[in-house]
Amino acid sequence: MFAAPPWASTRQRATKVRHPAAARRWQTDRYRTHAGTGWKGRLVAQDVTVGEIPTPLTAEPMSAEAVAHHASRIGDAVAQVILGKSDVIRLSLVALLAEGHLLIEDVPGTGKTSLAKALARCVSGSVSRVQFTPDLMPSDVTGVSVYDRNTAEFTFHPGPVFANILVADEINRASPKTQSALLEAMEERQVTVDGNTLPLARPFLVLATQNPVEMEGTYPLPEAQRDRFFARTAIGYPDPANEVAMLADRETVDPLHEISAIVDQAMVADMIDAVNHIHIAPALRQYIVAIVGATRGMPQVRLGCSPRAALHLARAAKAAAALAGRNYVVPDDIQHFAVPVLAHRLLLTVEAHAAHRSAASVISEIIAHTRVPLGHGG
Amino acid sequence: MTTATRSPRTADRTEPGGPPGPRTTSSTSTLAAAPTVFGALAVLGGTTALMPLVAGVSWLLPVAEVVTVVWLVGIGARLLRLRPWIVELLQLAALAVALTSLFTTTGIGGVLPGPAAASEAATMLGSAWDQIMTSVPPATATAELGLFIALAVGAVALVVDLLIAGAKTPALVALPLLGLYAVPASIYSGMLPWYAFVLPAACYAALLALSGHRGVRAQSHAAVSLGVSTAVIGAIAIAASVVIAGSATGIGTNGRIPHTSHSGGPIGLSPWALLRGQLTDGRPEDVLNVTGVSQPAYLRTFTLEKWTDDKGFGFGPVSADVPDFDGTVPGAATGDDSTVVTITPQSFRDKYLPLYPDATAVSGIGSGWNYDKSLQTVFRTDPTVPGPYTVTISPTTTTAAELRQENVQSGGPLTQTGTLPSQVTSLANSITAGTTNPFDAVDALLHYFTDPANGFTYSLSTPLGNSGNALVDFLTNKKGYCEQYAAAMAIMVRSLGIPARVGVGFTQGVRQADGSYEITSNDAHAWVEVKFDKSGWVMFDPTPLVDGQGGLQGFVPAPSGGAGAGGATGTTTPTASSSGTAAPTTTHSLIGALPHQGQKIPEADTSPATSSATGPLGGHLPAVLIAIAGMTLFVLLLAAPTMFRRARRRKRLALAAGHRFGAGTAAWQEIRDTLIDHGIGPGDEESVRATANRLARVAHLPATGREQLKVVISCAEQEWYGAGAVGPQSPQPDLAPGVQTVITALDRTQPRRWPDRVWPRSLRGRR
Repeated sequence: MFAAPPWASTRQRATKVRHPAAARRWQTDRYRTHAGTGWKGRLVAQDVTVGEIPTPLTAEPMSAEAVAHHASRIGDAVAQVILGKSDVIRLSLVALLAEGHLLIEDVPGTGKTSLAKALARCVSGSVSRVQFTPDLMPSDVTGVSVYDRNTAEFTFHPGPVFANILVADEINRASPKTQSALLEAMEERQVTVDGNTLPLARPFLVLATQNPVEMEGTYPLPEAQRDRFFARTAIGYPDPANEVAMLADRETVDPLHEISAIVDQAMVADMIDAVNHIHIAPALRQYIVAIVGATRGMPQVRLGCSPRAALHLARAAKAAAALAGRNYVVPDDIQHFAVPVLAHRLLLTVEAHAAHRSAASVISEIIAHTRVPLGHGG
Repeated sequence: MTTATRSPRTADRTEPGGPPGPRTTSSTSTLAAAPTVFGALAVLGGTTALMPLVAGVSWLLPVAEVVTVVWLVGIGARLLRLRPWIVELLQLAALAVALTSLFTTTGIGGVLPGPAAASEAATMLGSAWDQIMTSVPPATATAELGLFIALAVGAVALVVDLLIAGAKTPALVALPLLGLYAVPASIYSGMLPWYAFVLPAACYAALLALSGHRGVRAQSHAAVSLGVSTAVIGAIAIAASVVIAGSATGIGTNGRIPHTSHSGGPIGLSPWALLRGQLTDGRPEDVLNVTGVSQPAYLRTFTLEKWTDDKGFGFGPVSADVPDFDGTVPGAATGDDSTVVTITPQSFRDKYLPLYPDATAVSGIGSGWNYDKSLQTVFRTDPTVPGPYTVTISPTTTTAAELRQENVQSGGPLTQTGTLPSQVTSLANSITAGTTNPFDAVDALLHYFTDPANGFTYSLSTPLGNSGNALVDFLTNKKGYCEQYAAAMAIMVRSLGIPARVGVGFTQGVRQADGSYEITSNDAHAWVEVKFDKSGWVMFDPTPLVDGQGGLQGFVPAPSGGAGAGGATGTTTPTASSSGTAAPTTTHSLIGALPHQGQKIPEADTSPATSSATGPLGGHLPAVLIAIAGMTLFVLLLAAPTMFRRARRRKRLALAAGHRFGAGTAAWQEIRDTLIDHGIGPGDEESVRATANRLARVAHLPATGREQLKVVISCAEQEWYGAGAVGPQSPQPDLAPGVQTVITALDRTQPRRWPDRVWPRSLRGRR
């Protein structure tokens, strides 16, 4: 599909974390420091003072228009790499701003890594990539403490999770133990190694992929872990026109090189803060609850959506509103993101599977039958 | 936070516990009122077909009340969700109560129907039936007739209500409506007024339109809407054509549109001279036209010889003494000064031929006629409309003096009186006390009735009496019309042993500019004929003069001023001869009768005469006014929903242009209602943006329109979902042009159907 640039393919090999030495090499090469911190790659937990859960800002949050402006520039830049996939780009931006994680269920070669790299470049962030295999250990993700003979100390070598954007490839191939290590990091945004709790970078976005065609030797994500993903989507094949356009110049020009940083990480943090301040009307909160609640009562559904799903849907709607330059959520924001945010959390009944119902169609049906709150008496 | 209470009903509208299935409309009960009101209106409209049959409009009000009661009780009972048969019973009971309170006096507490009220109603219905059988349209609006009509129409309203709301078959309403229409159409001789068709037709069309939309299914949708549109357009076209025709030739078709002037239904005479009853003062029909008459005379159609106690004179056995009457009147002496009169029937249809009593020969009547010698009546077995025919008249001259010499034949059927009340016999005897010959006795009786001093007045109806005998009632109340006068005098004459009968026909009519006499239905008359031995049947007319009509006597009277009641003894020759000079050769002279009656007639007959005079105009004008008022009301009713919708639109547009908080909401509500009006209204589950996208697509909105719509949407969203920061103070753009653009585009691309124009969908509640 997307022709990977030469440097990317070498890096891809390099970042296959097989043993601590390799991890260390990768880390010293590639890992970038967290903006605004004094952390230089060697860090003990006690020193950590930054990158925590965002403290309430005294200053006025960034305006929705500004968020929309920056986000559209980021989106435009990423769109030069991933042609004709504005929906996926938008969803990944929403996930970035809503501090969620994306589960991309797709065949290899559709541009997942390119998307992650382009996004990371735009936000001046770092990218790491972990190829999940059955023998991958949790420490291969989180990092490991190594004894330094010169200093006679254990030095923590951070794993690939200490990046802004982590591409977790074929996450369902790893053992549940490793999966849960990553998922804990995703949820808690911190890693605990040897009793030390280390915060992760901000922004932190996991782009996990599942390979739906290669089902052999996989550990399917338990529903409890799927629930931690903010949204699921598929990049899908590009349409022929875009594929032709891609073939025209990818051999000589790497579009990733064309991308320069658009915002710094602090600004991304500000944008996330701005998204948190987007207004969502009480009626719309009830609307979200109604949608999520309806999934729990559908006869085709064995397991409905959790309250976390409602939380994620609200966050997605807020991020979508911010991307549109609005400082309030409208029902369409919710409707638009209901399927990617909710569908992967549903467990359908056997009968529904037999009837070839998909979770997405169930969510769409719920949206089509839930009353949209209008204003006064509307 | 101002948004906290905006949509409190969101939560309970979506049931989290179950799948959100298709929503049911809970507004069926309120919608059911609309078809039934049109059903009730259609019944009322159909009732107007009775307007030519019954004089005045006073009877309409009780009818309207009865229909309204039936309708309201139906609505109320159905709102309570009672069982259908209970609803019907309630309506029936309400109908009975309404009729009792409106018409009877003996109801329990005045309203509840009891046995007394039932028997009273039965009596009233019986007399209403008699009135229907005896009176010429239009009949006087008596309470009896009112009860009859209200009962019938109430029953029809009940059936209509049952068909619409109970049986859910509104199309069948046409059947009772047809019945309501067919009765007057078959009875009335002329054309029924146009509104009698237009009003029920329009209401029926509206009813179909409404109920059609309630029952639409996807498959039948097109067919139903096509039928409804056709019906509505047809009704409007008929209404328009009738209104145009009516305004061009004067409202009402009867006798106004030229080609219908002679096509009005024929008129026959009822073969009864009743002691009770009423006539109407409605619009007169032209019955006969008489040319060549030299002296005004009464036209006799038949004579009545059989007396029925407490009722009056009627037909005895009629015998065809001369079958296939060839035109020569048997036993008639042809005089020298015979005149030939041409009678042209206009809207006359009867079994009996109008003939002058002095006729000697008739020609041009065709075959099939018989002659009864004793009754002196030309008749046939089936009613017909005779063509123009000529009558040869040889007037006989009989003077009072001659008659005074004659004798009469007592006994036989002509002097049968049945069982007369003793007061009548004694009254007749006291009146004629002192008379020495039959003529004087009859003349005294005649003067008893015609002398205003005795208090007899002409009235179109006989008041109720309490004697239990119709004859005594009449003689006591002294009010009535020709039939009562003729019957009463004839029976009193008979009680003296003088043979008498009642002649029925027409008075002389009104002289036209061309010398002919126009005889109308108002000229129908009855009088007394007394049989003298030599002169035969002589005419006495005891009825007081009305409009200068009547008052002819079959003899040259004694012109004595002293010929009062009881004083009709021999009159002096000088005065008789002076009268003779006044009208020397007149046998059927109007002049002779005038001297002792003329002066006092106006005051004696003021009320009936006035009402009779204003009859034609007075009966016409209110009908026109009612028609106009009815049409206006109908148009207003039709236009009311549209006007209400427009007012609402104006209000919202003003709000939308107000640059204030709420402008967006108002603008969106207007757009939404316009979409509903055009049948493409948004569902509850559609967001504003989705609706707007659909709207822009179906209405082919241009780019500017889309921009305007976008502004409207964002304003509305900001009002509904925005944070408090964008509060009431922040100025809004003028949204009205955007709304207007949408309305124009929708009108162009999605034209509304007819029913939706009359009754905008946005006013019908949520689909």
